[in-house]
Amino acid sequence: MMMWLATWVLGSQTLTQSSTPSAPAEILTSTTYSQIKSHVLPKPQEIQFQEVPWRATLWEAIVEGQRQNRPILLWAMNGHPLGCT
Amino acid sequence: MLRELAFFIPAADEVARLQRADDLEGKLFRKVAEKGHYAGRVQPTNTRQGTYALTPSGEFLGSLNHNDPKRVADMLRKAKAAWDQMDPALRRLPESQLRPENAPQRFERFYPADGLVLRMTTRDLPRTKTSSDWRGQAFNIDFCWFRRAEMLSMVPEPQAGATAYVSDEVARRWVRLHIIDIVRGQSPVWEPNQVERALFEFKTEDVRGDLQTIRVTGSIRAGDQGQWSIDGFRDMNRPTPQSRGLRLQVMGRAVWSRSKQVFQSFELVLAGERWGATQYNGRSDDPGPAPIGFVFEKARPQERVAPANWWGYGWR
Repeated sequence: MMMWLATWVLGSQTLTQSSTPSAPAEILTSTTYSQIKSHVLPKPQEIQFQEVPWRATLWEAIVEGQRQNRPILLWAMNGHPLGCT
Repeated sequence: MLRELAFFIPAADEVARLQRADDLEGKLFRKVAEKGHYAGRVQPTNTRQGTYALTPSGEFLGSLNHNDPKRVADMLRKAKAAWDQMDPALRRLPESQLRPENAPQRFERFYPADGLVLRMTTRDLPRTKTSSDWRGQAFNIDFCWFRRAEMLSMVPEPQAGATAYVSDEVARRWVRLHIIDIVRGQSPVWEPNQVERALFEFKTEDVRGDLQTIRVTGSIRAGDQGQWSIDGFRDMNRPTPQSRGLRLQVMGRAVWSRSKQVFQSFELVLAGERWGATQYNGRSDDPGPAPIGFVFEKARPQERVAPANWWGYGWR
């Protein structure tokens, strides 16, 4: 982890804050690939909400609630809560 | 999971569509929302986002916009009591309203079951200075869809070294709609002329029996300049000169089953740098340049959430 972090930091030293970078740092290599992947992917505790069997649309829940005579809990956000919020 | 939740059918959905849609689903939502926590609100926005309890007929049972589990549980207990006391006839829609012709015409009907669906996760990469609050750990998710013909264009001939490329249209759509700095919040898509480079190369690495291993490489550049707001509601009426961009490398590997004609696995990692801020992406205090990463993986079959920027696909 530290090696590729160091690569990034060294690569960033010539960059000016808020300016368009002129030379990208090569941070993705066969060595750093797995580390970057594992850093980006969510940890289990970060996606505990996915344990709830959410229906992906309100309509699905309306149809199912009608069939099963059950109320609906709707989580509605700007951006789909199970996708990009 | 909350014990109180077990009695309810849980659903998650995008609120802006529900607020606008002129179909039964939208009408039922608005009927409920206008009795909820944001009923009638127009400032600073007219959003009705939050958590609602409702009957299938669209009767309001409870609502709040808070993520404290205790408060949600309390709302659910009260909603259950309201349900129990309600005339059962009021809970249900007339069966005629659930006919297929009343089903909403949502983009989800284009879910490419015989194509490729990727789950995208994006997050800031480590750097020397990171926010100590939620922003330091923020990540976001989106789904990226490819129709069957588009998926097949990713599969080279089964000889080592053979290459394939998705069409320029598909490559640009991939970048325009999905490879955006949304780590902390939503951000506009790239316009077509803002994608400077959208290269994805698929090369056969190995063929063993039925399985063809494909190595993916590429690079992406996109950028935009102009005047816009970068600080949510605070500067919404005071746009200032800005620029934003991404410069990324692409690496990955996929395994194609030649007999089943499906990807058995598919994984891409993108890493590089981002700069700039947009109105709602939470970068006004962190414009970079700074490192960012994206991971695309084959989604599970039950993950049928439409791409956030589905309207940009132009699928009919």
